[in-house]
Amino acid sequence: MNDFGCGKENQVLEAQRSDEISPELMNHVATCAACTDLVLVSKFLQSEAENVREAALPDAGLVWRKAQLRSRHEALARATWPIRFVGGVAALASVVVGLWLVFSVTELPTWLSDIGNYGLQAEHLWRGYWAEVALRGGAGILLCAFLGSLYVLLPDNARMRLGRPSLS
Amino acid sequence: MRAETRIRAARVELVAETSRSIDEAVEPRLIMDEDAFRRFYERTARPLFAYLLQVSGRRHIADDLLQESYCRLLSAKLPAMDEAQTKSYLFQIANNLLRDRWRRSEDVGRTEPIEGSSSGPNPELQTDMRRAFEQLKPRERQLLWLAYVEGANHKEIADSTGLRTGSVKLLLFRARRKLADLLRCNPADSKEKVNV
Repeated sequence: MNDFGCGKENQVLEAQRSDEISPELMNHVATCAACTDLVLVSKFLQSEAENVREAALPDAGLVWRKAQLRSRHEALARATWPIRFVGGVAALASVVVGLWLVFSVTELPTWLSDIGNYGLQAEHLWRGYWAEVALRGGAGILLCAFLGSLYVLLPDNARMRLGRPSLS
Repeated sequence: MRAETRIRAARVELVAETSRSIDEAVEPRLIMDEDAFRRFYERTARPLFAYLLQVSGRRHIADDLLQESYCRLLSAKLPAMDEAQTKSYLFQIANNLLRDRWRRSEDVGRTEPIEGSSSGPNPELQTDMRRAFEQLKPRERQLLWLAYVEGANHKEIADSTGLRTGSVKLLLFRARRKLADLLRCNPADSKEKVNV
């Protein structure tokens, strides 16, 4: 026997598993502390393993269907990732543009008064008008893209609640 | 009229093609077919369940982890493996799941009686011995079970548990001595237990 057991442990374990322990090995077990522990522990653990053999297990078909369903969900998540990404970008852009518009509208009276004060020419007004239209148009498009993505990503049951047919 | 029919046919074809592409995109990709899985499950589920039950000490945890381990195995992207390697990988997944539970400090390690498991010739003795086993740490139970029930060598245990081979040797030796001492402390059974 050494610090971490005995050199004959594997032999003892094999013999015990096959239930064929020679008298010589039995004498060794009786005198070796490590092998005595080994026999005691492995015998106990084997009996525990025998007891658990009677326990009921989940059905293989159930586990299979669960794995299939999960794999399908993962594949669906992978397939719709670009849509979710565009939806997220559109949502972010909508928020940014929305905030910008709110600030621009709150400053509108100053802007209007500035027209009076500085007497802007029609050309400037024309340019300002187009910038405003482009901005609002862009914001509208982003908002539509966001709502469209949201609709596509809605689960089937939520879509049915909205009174629309399922996409699948 | 003919052009309209063609357009309609093309539209139908386009819808069918799109539908096929979507079906292919969301088709589950599992590492084996159902029959192969059933055969594999038949051979490996019981030892894995016994292991999870003994280490976690709770039936519902063992049930959960068993199902989760198989689901992860089936969805994994693996190179070609024989059954022994696949089983070893399965135990590795189960060990990772157990470790996650320990890290989250869930109730792994606290034990509950295993129903219908004290059906031997001496149920009281078995219960006492099981109590002794339950006094070990989950890591000690894990090492002992893998070594003496699953028959894994030190390297296999190290691969499966994430420990070093040298550490496995030492920890296993200590765990065995600890369990043997606990079993010996149990009165009225010492002779019966070492009866080889």
